Amino acid sequence: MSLPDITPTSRSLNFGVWPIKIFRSNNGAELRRLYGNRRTNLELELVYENVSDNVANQFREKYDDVKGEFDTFRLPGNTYAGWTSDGQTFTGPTANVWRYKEPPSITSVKRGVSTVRVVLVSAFIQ
Amino acid sequence: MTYFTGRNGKLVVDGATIAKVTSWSMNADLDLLETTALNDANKSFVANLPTYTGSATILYYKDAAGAFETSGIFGRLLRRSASLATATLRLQIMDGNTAREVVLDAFITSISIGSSVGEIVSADINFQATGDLADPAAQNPIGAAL
Repeated sequence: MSLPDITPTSRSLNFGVWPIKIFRSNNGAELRRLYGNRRTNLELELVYENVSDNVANQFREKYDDVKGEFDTFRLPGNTYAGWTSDGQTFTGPTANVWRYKEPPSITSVKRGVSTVRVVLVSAFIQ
Repeated sequence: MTYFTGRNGKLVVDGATIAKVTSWSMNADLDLLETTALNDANKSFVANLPTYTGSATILYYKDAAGAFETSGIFGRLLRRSASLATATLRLQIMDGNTAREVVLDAFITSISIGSSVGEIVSADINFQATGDLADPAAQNPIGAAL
């Protein structure tokens, strides 16, 4: 079971953070230590407006398939459709895998039509 | 070829023809839901739900028998005992003996009436349909779709 390979109607990305720890002394001197070689915790919000209920249900099925926020998965190609610059912006240098950050929300718009909002957080597999 | 004019128009409220109607109009609107995705070059939509609204202008008129034919409409909003129920409106354009019509159950949402020197008293009404349009042919032997 994979996510539906459809293009979202809106997509927003939080670039995540570099794993930096800051040590600050009482006199204001500051030391920053880098604990990794890649950004982590990218956050991707996808909205699929006015899709059929059957498509909307696939997001719920996927959520159950990966046991909620437990397992990771890769996103289908159309998730990034419409982005014309560097593909690594969304996938990261190592083609991030993703996991649900929270359960997908489904809003019924009319009979048979729903809007789905999905929030994902990146994960890194060694 | 046949054209139709205001002479062919009729308004029937709850089965009673309103004789002194100077105009009626109706709007049928369809809400659309946008389905345009990020990679699309053109906007796309799916149909949501239709709504029907309209208006009419009626002369305030007492017939020879002393009856006010506007009472059926005014009774739905202007009276203290107003029922606030829907009225069955038939907006007709007569085509010979055939009534080309739209039949709808509608709330009378506004009535505007005034009196001016040198003018006949008339009322402007607005209505909002609820539910689907009715089938003209099923309710009226001479009814047909507009």
